[in-house]
Order: sequence, then structure tokens, then C-alpha cells
Amino acid sequence: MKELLNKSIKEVRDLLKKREITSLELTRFYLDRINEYDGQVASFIRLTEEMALRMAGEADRRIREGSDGDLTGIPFGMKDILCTKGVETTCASQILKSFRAPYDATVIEKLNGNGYVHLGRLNMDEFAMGSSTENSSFQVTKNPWDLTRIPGGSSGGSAAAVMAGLCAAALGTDTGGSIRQPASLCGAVGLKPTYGRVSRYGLVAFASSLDQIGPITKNVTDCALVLKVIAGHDRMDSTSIPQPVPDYTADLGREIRGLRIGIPGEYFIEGMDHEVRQAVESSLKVFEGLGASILPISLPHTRFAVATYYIICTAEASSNLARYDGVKYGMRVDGKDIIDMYKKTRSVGFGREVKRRIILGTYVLSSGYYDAYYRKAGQVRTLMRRDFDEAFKKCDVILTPVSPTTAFKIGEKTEDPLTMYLSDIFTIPVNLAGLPALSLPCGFDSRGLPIGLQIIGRPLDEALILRAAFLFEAEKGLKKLPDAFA
Amino acid sequence: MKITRDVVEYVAHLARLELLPSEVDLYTEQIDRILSHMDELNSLDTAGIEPTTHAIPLVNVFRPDTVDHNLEVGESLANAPEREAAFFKVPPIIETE
Repeated sequence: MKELLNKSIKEVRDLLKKREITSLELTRFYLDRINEYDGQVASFIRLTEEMALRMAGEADRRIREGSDGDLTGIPFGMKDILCTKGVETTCASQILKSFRAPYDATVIEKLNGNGYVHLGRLNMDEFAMGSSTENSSFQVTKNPWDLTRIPGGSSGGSAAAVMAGLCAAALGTDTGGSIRQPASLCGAVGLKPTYGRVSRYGLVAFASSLDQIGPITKNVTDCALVLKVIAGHDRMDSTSIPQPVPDYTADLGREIRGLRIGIPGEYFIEGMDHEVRQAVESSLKVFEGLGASILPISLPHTRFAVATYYIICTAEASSNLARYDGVKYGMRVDGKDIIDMYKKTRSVGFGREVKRRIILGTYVLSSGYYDAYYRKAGQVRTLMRRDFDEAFKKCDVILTPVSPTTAFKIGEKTEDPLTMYLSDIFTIPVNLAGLPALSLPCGFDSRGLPIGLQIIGRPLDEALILRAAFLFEAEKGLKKLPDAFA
Repeated sequence: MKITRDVVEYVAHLARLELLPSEVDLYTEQIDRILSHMDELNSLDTAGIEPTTHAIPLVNVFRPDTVDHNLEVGESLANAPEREAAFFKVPPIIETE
């Protein structure tokens, strides 16, 4: 069964269709692996074993009947921020402990319709606020390549589980880099779709103008397949785009001769790990070998990205998290009156980073400061979008690093929030502009830690990004899983 | 230092948070530093620029005002910390003498 760890979803699906394995066997295989290895990695907050086995049995029935789809029988891990009916959905926060979602998120409905298997809930930074998964109120997830290091965040559990071979694929969410950065730090492939490409109905909201759900997988083909299933317009999400979903797997393998790749000078900065820089720069030669041309571009407002983002996302978060008040669900701490109950519940229920961002967000929206901060940030956001619009007149995709460093040690950056925020510099602009972007492994540093490459595309151009990534991945032939988990 | 302890305490009250004195100290210092970083935005001339609140040009997405599927009362109350009949039960809202 172990050789399944190196197979793509499609290859496993072929084995399922030929009845060489069953989904029940596959699911038990992953549950056993979680039992054996997740004590070390701590990627799952909680398993849903009974549900998984039931879904696997269902999947096997569908396969026998010939009514199966692209993901039927495939075991997934789910970031604990996606409402799954009847399942405890906590966003790694104490304030939502014991909250059982009364409905399925649209992406979950789509996966259900396709016959997937839900193994369990994956760890994350509380309410998706963080870049290391250290802000989880439950546990710290470890990087499978070095268990003393962080897996990245906020979808750290998702990236770690996939790369430790504890699930075939996972969903994560990305507001400022939370799919791409953990993917990069764990050697996975992670895609943040165009804002509006995937429905946010049932995604617990952090920053509504920035959040997107996306796949975290072992390879590009799997990523394309998962995106194909979860993408699409949804009448339950008025920010979802009413455009048809192409088959993202159809053109993988098609050549990229003449592809113009833009390299923004502003993304190759001081303070960036020189091995990361080297790995990204040497990737350019691979793309040239595939027939692409490289040209320098400028995204002049890049240095304002972190400030802009942390004003907008905290403002939106302060509004979105106002609903956690102890009234309707989750934790309640009693008080002498309603206000007292709100304050006590929220003060006990929320962690430090969440409270910090709520205070910051409330401040920048407050009377007298709204124009100076929130409105101003919105204007700078427009300038940043224009930077990308201009750049895409000259190039088809933009290539950058994902993170200025490889995975840092657990506890290394928890003292100073600003240092942690600044590490999101390469991923944030993409969310502000609403563009699609993929993180793809491009090498390892001298400590054997993965380095990721970011490919940014025009709105709704995921197919092109995936094509370029597919060819690069084939050319590079990098080792997939760390030896300890292979 | 533009962010004072008073400001942090007031904003916390607006956000319905209750902070320990040590937390007020910590947040005051951290938030002040974060806001100083954000002051960099003032160096940009944004006169006449419309803010972006939405990444893609969708406007006025409507649907007919018809009732579709929704949660049953039981489902809606299933996670309630305290309930009575078809209601969420909470401490007093209106001040009484």
C-alpha cells in the first residue's frame, strides 16, 4: 500500500476503478498512518473515523455501480475552518469548541457529490490568523521535513498532513498567503484561486474581500483535479464569479513556448535568504529551457503591501468576528448582563493574536481614523492592482519567491508580531489584487528544507499557471515526501 | 507614542473585549509599533483614487426574494449554550434599577 503515497490521485482512482484496491482499504491505510505518525506531526486536531469509513463504503458502492467521479474514494484532510455538517468545526479556537456545523460549505457539498472521504480536521492558526500554525489554541503542528520547525500557516496542518502522507490531498484557505506559504515550507503544491473562483459559502470568514479556499496537494496534476471539482459559481456566495469552470487537467503537458514570465525586481530584497533567492533564480533557466522568455517588470507599490493588508484584513476581521459572542453557539462564559457576558466570553475564548487583530481592526475603523487608515489602505490597494494590470500587459505570468526564508524554528518569531507579518510580503499583494497564484516546490536549502516558487496569473488564468507548473515539475523531478514519512 | 493605554482600553471596550493590565501594556506597545509601520502609507499621494473593496468587478448581485431551503428551528438552536423553547437564552439586556 505504501507505494500509493507516491501516486497521483488519478493513478489511485485507476486502481480503485479496476478494483485492485478499495476506498475502504485506502481509508484504513491513511487512518493507520495517522495513528502511527501524527503523534510526531500533530497535523490533525480531530479524526472523523466512523464518518470516513462510512464515506469510503459509499464510495466503493458508487465505484461498483460505475457512478463515480474524479475524486470518488479519495481520502482528504480538511482545514478546520470549512463548515462540515455535523462535524465539530473550531477554526482552532476555544470559542468554537463544541460547535457542530449545521450545514455543509459549498466546497464540502461539491466534494460530497463527488464521493470523497473526509478523514478529519486539520490544524491551523486560530481563525486563520498567522503564518506558522503556532497560534492554534490546540497544538503546534511540526514540519515533516524537520520536526523542530514550523510548517507555515495558517494552513499548516493541511500542508504537513499531505507531505507526511497522512491524506491524499487537503483543502486550505488563503487570505494573505495561508495556502501558498505552508505549501512552500512543506514542499507541497498549493493554489490560491482567483478571488471569487471558489465559493466562500460555509468558509468561516476572516477577511471577506481576501479569503479564498484552495487545494494543497503533492503534485500539480492533483491540484488541477481538486480545483476542477471545487471551483464554480455559487448563488449562495454573491462574490463568486459567474464564469464556467474549465477542465484544469485537460491542457497539462501542453508546451509553453513563447510564455512571457515577468520577474519583479521589488521581490528580490535584502533580508531574503540567499539560498531561496538562488533556487528561484535558477528556476528561471528551467523555464527558459521550456521555451519561455524572462523579462524584468516592476510592481512599484510592493513595499506598501504589508501595511495595506494588515489594515484591511484586521478591519474586516474585527467585523467578521463580532458574531462570536456566546449567544448562539460555541463557548459562553456567564456574565451579570449581556455586555459582561460578551466581554468575558470573547476574552477567554479568543487567543492573543486574534485579540490583537480585533483591537487593531476596530481602531482603524473607528470614527476619526477610518479615512486615515481603512480608506487610505483601500486606495493603496487600487494602486497595487494597477501595478499588476500594467505588468500583465508585458507578461503572461509573474514569478516570485513565496517566502523570504525556509521553515524557521518553532518559537523563533512568536515574540514580535511585526516580524511575523513582514514575512508575508511576497504572498500578500496577490490577495489584495484578487489574482490566482500557485506555490510549487523548486528546490531545497542546505538543511534539506523545501523552497517554493510562486507563479501569479491574470484573473481566472489558473489553467495557464497550472500548465507552466506542470512542465516545471516534470523537468525538475524533485523528491516528493521526506524520507521519514516516505 | 500615539497609541496610549486609554486608547487600547477604549477600543477593547468597543470590541467587547476585557483585557488584563499586562495585556493592555503588551498590546499598547505592539499596536503602536505596527501602526508606525502603517504610517508609511501617508507618503503615497492617493488623491482621486477610488478605494478597492472588491477584487473583481461584480455589482449588485441580486436574486428573487423567495424563500429557499433554510435551517429548522431545532437545527438553529442545536449549538445554543442556553435555550428555552424557540429562543436563545441570554443574561439581561436592558438595565434594570
